[in-house]
Amino acid sequence: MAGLLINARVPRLRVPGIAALGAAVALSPYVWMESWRGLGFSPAYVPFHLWCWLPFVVLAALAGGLDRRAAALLGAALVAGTVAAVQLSQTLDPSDRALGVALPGLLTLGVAGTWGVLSRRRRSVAIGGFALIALLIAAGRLLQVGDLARVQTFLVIGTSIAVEALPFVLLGAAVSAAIEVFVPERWFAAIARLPLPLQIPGVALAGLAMPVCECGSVPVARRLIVRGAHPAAGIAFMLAAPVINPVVLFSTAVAYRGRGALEMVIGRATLGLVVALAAGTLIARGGAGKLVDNARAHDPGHEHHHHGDGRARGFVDHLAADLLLMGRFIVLGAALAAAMQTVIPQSVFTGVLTSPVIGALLMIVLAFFLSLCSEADAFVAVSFIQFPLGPQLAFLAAGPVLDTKLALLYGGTFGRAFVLKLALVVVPVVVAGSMVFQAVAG
Amino acid sequence: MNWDWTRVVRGLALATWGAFFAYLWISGRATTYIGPKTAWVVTLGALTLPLVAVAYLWGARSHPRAASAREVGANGLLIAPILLALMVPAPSLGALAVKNKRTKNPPAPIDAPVDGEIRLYEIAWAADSAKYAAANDLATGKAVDFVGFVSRDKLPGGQLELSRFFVSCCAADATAYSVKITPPAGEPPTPVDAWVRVRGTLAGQPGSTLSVAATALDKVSEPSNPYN
Repeated sequence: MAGLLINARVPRLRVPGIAALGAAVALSPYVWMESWRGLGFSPAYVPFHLWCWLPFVVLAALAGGLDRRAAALLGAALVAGTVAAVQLSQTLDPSDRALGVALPGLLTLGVAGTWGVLSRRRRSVAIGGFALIALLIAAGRLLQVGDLARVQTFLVIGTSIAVEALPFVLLGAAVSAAIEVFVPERWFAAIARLPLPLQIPGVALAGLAMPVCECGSVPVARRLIVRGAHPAAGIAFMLAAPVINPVVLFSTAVAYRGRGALEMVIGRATLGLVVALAAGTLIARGGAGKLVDNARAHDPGHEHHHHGDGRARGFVDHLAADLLLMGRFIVLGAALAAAMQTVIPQSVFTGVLTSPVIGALLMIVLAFFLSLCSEADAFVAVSFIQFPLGPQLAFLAAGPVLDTKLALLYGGTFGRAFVLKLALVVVPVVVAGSMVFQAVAG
Repeated sequence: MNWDWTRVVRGLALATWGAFFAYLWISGRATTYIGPKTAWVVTLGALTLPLVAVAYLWGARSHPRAASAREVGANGLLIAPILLALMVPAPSLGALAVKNKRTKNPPAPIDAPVDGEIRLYEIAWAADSAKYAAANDLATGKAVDFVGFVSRDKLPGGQLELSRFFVSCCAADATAYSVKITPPAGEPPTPVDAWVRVRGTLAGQPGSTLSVAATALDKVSEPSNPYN
């Protein structure tokens, strides 16, 4: 296959030229390196010579797809890289030696990757992409980036958020797909006919029966809106479900056992519902049409038509489309949240003694950056003992409706303007609610 | 070939995540990321994601369609964390995370009695609350034997700080608990982030200055579940 890639425009000498250059460089240490000169040639060294020669052979084979300048640059890089490989392989430091022995392999991947990325053909780009990914992983391992504490902390926290969230997104996507495929149109027509003052709280309270946390409720809410529920009701459901569902309230009770569990559970459920109803009503009043358009535009279901393949196919298509769309935002949000947790110490937020209002605002900001799952955040909130219960409630009420990963998820689902509007409603309502709670229970 | 490449790319991204979940589940490495209470999400992902990927890929032989560069990029982003995880063989939370996550001592669970052996957590709680210490018979002179990692060395008086994380759902909500140790005299320095087994007795005042006077400090490997 490599031979076919060399087209007629390539000067005939280029292929044997690069191969010969490689052979010369791979054997050159016998001239310039004292230890090799002293030991002389042995058949046992042949594999290493061939290994050092490999990147040049690959470059020679792929040179047809490259213009002259790129080929020359790559050739020069290979010469330098091979010399470095030979020298590193002679050192005493074990990790340097390992790097030296691995370097020709990395160079080969680099050549294949550069060639693939520079070429216009789809398949070459794919091969090049894989080569570069392999290069990145191998280089990362050899350079031991994992030994850096920051890399480890970032990786553990970021991966853990994604691993924790994805199965819940999957559950939410499954419910959403089931609603799309199996629930008849007339049910939604019936919901849509309900007067708004009934529809919004009714749909929001349905969150009680949905034991999913925030990542799962987004696809369900979007499906409700796309299928005809009023946007205000859909938003209210999305914001209420992660706060008022039984699993979350139970974990809150466990975390606050012996420290006012009953007050906290009641406060959380009440404030959660108030936030959801207020946000749903206000946001939908200010631009419901646009919200629906956004939800529809980002609806992956529109790309697929059922083609009469039956409901099972439709179910799988909708589930996978939702999962893929939301998964990207989860991954991005998890990376951002992990970067925050890696770089900024929590004491920046919690180290200052403040008034209840500032305390509540600080807790909202901290909840935004931490991006915890609503089923776990109570265990963290309870550890902020230097804050009174009011600001702790602010942390519990704001986190499940507004955090880094959710901001990206909302933006991708309902448009960026929605995130801003939501913040404008959530922050004042939560601060006010936490003040009231502090006055009553604190 | 009549392949729907958009579908292939998406299906492969799902399959990669499915494989990662399966790996976490089978190898037991999930304990690095997920707390004991929510370990079931890994099982759920390992069992369902591959099924979804296969079911989705099933339809890829029908209508020919190319995969746009955007599609490839977006799905590349989706699997980027797995590539990073492949780059770092066995990551874990250490001293840096203790420093970043430190607020004040998280409160002791007053009405939760010690269940079984005394771990680092119980000693940290006894150092936080005299009431907790009294209720659980954690007083000066009590013999202890537990495992933790060094989060600070070179404290005044030659003391070390040992920590362990407690995780409710996932590592993002990890809370650090720390205990001060007085190493045996003549002990060579223990590097930060090393896991050690400590044997010794409690010293100082529960609720304020409780620490551990160690008689033996041995390096051990990281426990299979670092969060309990």
